[in-house]
This record gives sequence, structure tokens and C-alpha cells, in this order.
Amino acid sequence: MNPENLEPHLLSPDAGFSDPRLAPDFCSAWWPMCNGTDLPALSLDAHDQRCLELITAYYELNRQLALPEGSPSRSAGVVRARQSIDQLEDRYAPVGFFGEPQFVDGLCRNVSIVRPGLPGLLSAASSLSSQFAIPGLEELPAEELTGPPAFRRWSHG
Amino acid sequence: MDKYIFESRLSPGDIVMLTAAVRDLHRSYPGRFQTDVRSSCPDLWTNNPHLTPLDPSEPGVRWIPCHYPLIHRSNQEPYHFIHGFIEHLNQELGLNIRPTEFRGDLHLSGEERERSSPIHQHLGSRSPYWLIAAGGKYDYTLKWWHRRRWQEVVDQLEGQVQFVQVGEPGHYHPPLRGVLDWRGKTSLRELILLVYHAEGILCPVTLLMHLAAAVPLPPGRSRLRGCVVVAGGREPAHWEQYPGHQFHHTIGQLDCCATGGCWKSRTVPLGDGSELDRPEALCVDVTPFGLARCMDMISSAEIADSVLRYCRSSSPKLP
Repeated sequence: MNPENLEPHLLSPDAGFSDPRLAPDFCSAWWPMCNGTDLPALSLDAHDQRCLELITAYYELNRQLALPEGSPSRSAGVVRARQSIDQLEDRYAPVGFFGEPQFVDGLCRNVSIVRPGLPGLLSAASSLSSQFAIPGLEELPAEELTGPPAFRRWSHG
Repeated sequence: MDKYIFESRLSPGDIVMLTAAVRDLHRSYPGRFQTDVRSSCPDLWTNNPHLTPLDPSEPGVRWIPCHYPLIHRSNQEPYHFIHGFIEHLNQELGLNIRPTEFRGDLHLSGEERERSSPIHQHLGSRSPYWLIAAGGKYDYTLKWWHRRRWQEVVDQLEGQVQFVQVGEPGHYHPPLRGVLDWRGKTSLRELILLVYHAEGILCPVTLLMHLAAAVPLPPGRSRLRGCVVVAGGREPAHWEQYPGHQFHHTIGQLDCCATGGCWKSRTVPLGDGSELDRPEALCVDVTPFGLARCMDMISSAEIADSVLRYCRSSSPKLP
């Protein structure tokens, strides 16, 4: 599969996803924080959307965990909720998205999520990433490597 | 005596290779140079006997930015990464440095060698352990194996291998079950000491792989430190693999790495504004789960088996 053919929905919430905070039966006591703060209600940022989806999955887990011990639906609900969290993290693994929950008194109160850093401006103190090979680069005449920057498409042959 | 300050702000794994070049410079030309470094990882140079503090403003001190353009010929020519900085220095300085060891050059102080491992302290015994890095930096996500595969390896070796998970905060290191979680708990220097005491290393192509070879062995240990690398088809194996390592690659097994490493960067764009998101830097054979095909071809069973080979051969021979 070519990456250009990857459906965008693979890396962002399903179209049918909705913020549970907008539902009339929303219970804020079960809503975990994200990196110590409450998520904004609306964000077009893909990372924020994934966060909201994951926090929602933990909200569902909390909802199940809050059911009375021994309740017939509780254990199955907890298993289902944990599977949903796992599936979400599987789905977003290619972009390195995962959350680390913190539980207090049996409920998830916060989820720590790493956001990939934006590429930093180069400075003497910064650490650059590894160099990478550009096959054929050394065959280019030196004069083509001077002057104003030009976009080149490499064959990676 | 010529005086050089070598500069590199590249990643720690790259800097390990620069330590080898500095060592080999001095071995090839004993007493001819004074050298100092400016790098992104001072911890890799601690106790290094080849460094002399140099002031760049001092007359006669030459500042040398270090690169390894040899990488651009890595698919065609029979060189290891260890040749990379050496070749560049040879060209820049008109020298003929030759590699003298198949490893980077890290040095531990006597106190560091005698210090017991925090893992052994935690375990309450000197039981052997393996370090595992189940992820990496966000820039080259093509190097990642799926988090579920790492977990499968740990699960398959439960009761046979004690894994200690390490990883830098801010990088992609999803938590594994059944391991000692040492993520984010070490400085680079402390990580080096964990490697020193480790029986083996399990990782993708990353700093730990270089450390597995470069960190000295504890006294009494004659066999090379074990290292199993989940590599795929990004890098040519001969460029990365060290003696004694089990390097699982797919060069020659897929069209996209038919004759060498693809040197691509990512499986899918991260949207972080990096040029590594550009189409020409993206993997051309991605599975529906977002894993590079070359990484997907490597099974958890074969990796677990590779680890076990080191462990089995550590056991007493059966009569």
C-alpha cells in the first residue's frame, strides 16, 4: 500500500466520533485530564483530536469502573473499554501516539500523552537528527550544488 | 603539534561513531595531534583520553565540522558506519586514518566500573538482564517496529529473560508489560552504565545498538555483548551491523530495498512540519496497520529466538 493511499481516517477519529462532554448524560467526575489540563472542546489539530478520542476511551473505562463491584455488566464493560484503548493505540502507532494513564482511587484521572516536537530551528546547542543517505548525490556536478536552494526529487535508486 | 576541535551536533549514535574516528586518528598518528570536541553529547566523551581542552580562539586551533558523506555511497561500497567520519577527516585533513577496532570508543572510570548496576540493586541480585528500546525518536519513524511485536517478544521470553525498558522522555517508547520500566530514568551516562552491566540489548537501529558494541565489557566477560537489532530494509546491513550482533534485515527481499537500504524516513506523515514528511521521504510499502512492510516481515518469534540463542549458549552444556 502506498502511503498516499492511506485513508485519512486511519490517523484521525472516525467521522461518527463525538465529544462525550456534549452529551446530556455526561458525568465530569469520570472525565480524565490530558497532560494535567482539560482538553479544549473544539480543535482542528489532529493531535488534539487523537487526544480527545483517547481521553474519551478512558472516560468510558472510568464509567465502567464506577459501576458497582460484582455488577454483571462491569467486568465485560471494563474489558471492552480496555480493548478500545488498545485498539486506538494500535491504530495510531504509526504516528507514535499513546497515552500513559494515572489512576487514583481506581479511576483514571489523567493521561500523559507525548506530542512529537516540531522541528526546532538549528542552533549550536541543538542536536540534529542523523544524516541520511541521498543515493546519487555524489554523482551530481559540484556546480549544481551551489546557488539558490532548489527542490530536487531523488530516485533513492 | 596540530590542534583540532571536532564539532558535530548529530544524534548520539552518530557521535559514538565520531569517538571511534578520534581514537583511530590518534592511533594512526601517535603524538601528532591535540584534539577536543564540541558535540551534542558530552556524556559520550567522559574519561576519553584523547581529548585535550582547547580554546577555539587560540592561534593554531582549527575548527573541524564533522560529517560522514560516505553514507551516500553506503549501498554501493563495502563500508561500515565506522568508516564514515574517518573518511571525512581523511579528506579534510589529508590523512590516512584507518579503523582499528570495530566499535566506538567509550571509557568508564574505575569508580563507574565498580559501581553496581541500579538494576541489580533493584532486583536484589546480579541476575542478568537485557535492555529493550521499543521505539525511538519521532523523526525516523520508519525504524519503528509495532509496539505489539515488542510486547510479543517480552511475553514469549517471560521467565527466561529479564527485560529492562529504556527510552528518552519525549520520544516514542510505549510502555511494555512484564518489564522493568526504566524509561526516562537515566541520563545518557547512566544509560551507558546500564549497558555496561547488561547481558544484551534488543532494539531497532538506534543509539543502544552502537552502545552495545562501544561500551567496554565487565571484567571476566570474554564474549561480546549480545545485541538483537530489528532493522528492516532502511539501512544496508553492512553499514550498521557489528560483530556478534543479530541484525534482522530485509535487504534483497523486497523491491523497495532490492539492492540496498531505502534510507526513507517515515511510514506516514506526522504533520510536524518536517521535511521528512515529504513524499520522497516516505516508505513506499506500508501495511494497512501503518507498519513498513520490511518491518512487518520480521516476526516476534524470530526475534525472541535470536535473543534466546545468546541465553541458551550461556547455560552449562548438557551432558
